[in-house]
Amino acid sequence: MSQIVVNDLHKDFYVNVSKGSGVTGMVKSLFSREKKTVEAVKGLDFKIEEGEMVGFLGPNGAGKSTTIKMLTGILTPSNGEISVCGLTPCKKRQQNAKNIGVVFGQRTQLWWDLPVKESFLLLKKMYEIETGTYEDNIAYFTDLLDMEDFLDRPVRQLSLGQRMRCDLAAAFLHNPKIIYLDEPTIGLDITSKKRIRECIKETNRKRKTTIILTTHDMADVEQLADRVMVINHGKMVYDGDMAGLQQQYRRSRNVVFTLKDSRVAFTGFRMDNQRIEWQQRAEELILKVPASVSAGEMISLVMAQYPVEDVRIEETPIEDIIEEIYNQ
Amino acid sequence: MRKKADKYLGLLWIRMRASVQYRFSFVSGIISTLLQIAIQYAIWTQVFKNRVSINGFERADMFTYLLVSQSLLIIFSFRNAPERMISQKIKQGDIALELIHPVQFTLARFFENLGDSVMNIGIAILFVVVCGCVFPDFIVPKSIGSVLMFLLSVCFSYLIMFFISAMAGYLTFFTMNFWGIYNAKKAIVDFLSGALIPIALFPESVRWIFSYLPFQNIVYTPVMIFLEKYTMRECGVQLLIQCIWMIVLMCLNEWVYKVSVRRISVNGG
Repeated sequence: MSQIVVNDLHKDFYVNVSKGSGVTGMVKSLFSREKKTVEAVKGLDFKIEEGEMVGFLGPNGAGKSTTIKMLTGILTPSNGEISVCGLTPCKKRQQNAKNIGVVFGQRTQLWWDLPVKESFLLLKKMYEIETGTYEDNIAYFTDLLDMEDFLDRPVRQLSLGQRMRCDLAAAFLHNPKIIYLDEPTIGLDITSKKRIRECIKETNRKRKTTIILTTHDMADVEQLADRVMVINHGKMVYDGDMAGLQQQYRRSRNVVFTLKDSRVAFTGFRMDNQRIEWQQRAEELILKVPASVSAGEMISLVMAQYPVEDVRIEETPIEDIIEEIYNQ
Repeated sequence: MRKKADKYLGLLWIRMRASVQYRFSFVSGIISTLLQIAIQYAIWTQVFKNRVSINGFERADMFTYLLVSQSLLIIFSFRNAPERMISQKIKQGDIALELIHPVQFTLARFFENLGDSVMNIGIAILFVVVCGCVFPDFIVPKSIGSVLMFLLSVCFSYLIMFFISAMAGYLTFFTMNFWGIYNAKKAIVDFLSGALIPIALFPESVRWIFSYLPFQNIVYTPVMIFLEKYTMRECGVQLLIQCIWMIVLMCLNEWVYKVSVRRISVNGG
């Protein structure tokens, strides 16, 4: 049996709707409020095997976090079944908690006023980790995430990057079978992001830990996820590997030229018999390059004909990819 | 078994450490308690001017009642009230983090609360001992049995108070509002627990209603045991009543927890 099995999963939220606005609305709300049902998750089906690295994508409000919360046992599904390592998370919350580790990007699970080391010790007690295993893991992650310098500092004194590294180590400390990462690299500088990704990859490779990653950072997904699940409006719209995702959506990129002279007017362009979409605003010229066209070639052609001061290439944001997939 | 205990003791230890840091609110808590005592002392002195006793309560009894009940309130007022903790966590969505941990939710909150209370318990004990030595009016229990029963009663009271507070906390799940419930609960408990006025001083007709509610068992019962106003047999009965309420509230609390946790609306998509 697969490690994680989800069948026809549904989750509805009941939201209070206030009647009207202004003072009348406020008074009306005192006496009665309408309840509106919001269907956050509308029937998900999937299986995840041990050791897989899965990226969970979708626009904000698509139902990703809600699904993760149901997988971790925080929320109870309105309908459908979940089985994680053979357990139903919301029914066997404590047992399930021993098998999983969670990193919430925007919140820390560490105790705010305590030195990091003390938080780890408390986690050791909570998860009943053997001293030998604990020592080994501390050494391993301190080295891998370069945490030596701030293990003795209280969590509130750490920078975001340092705190995220500690949270990651904390999640792995009890050798869980599954790790859920909710926006683990949000707000981090490039060095920190690299370090976090390396750590995740290493640990997945060495310990066969299943990784489920929710993120808006495309680079995270490209570097870490073997498999991608795209959710929109509570439904699964794509479940497969990265290559398939890129094939389904032929990515185009934007190339932004800064012309030396704003008075120069761009008059259109053809490459490989394709008309290139373009937009000009004063000295800024934006060309939309389809995937089939070589950006390098196009840049040199443009530079040959126009006085170019600066060039940059912009990747398409993931939301566009998601939207594109959903609209197909 | 040892490992399981370690989990919860760890939580207790952390909160105890944290509470030591909040020295200022600590001191102001003590000052406000002293003020309360002074005010109530003034009122009761007036009341007893023309009377020797009311319903079996003499001046010395009242004075002792005052001091002991206020000491208990130092412990039970829960500056970092469980309901505040719980509702705060809901508001911030931190409830999710607590649910990730392999610990029983209510038990974890209880030990955290105990950690917060340790300092207060120390102060309360100090307070009672000092009063006993300094004030001649202060009635000290004469037998060891009374003291032991008093301590047991206080333990039960602590638990009763904890469960009531925790349930109030879960109710904020539904109403998404903290201050309303907190103040309502505080008012009800203060009034019905005998914290303001000993239950014995209430008229007969009202007293029987109180006896069916759990609140009088929080302050009134332990203080009465302290004052040795009960015979041994009556003490036993009162302790048993406390015990029963404790179990009832514990079950009620678990039920409220299950029902409210299933309905939590945690923000974020």
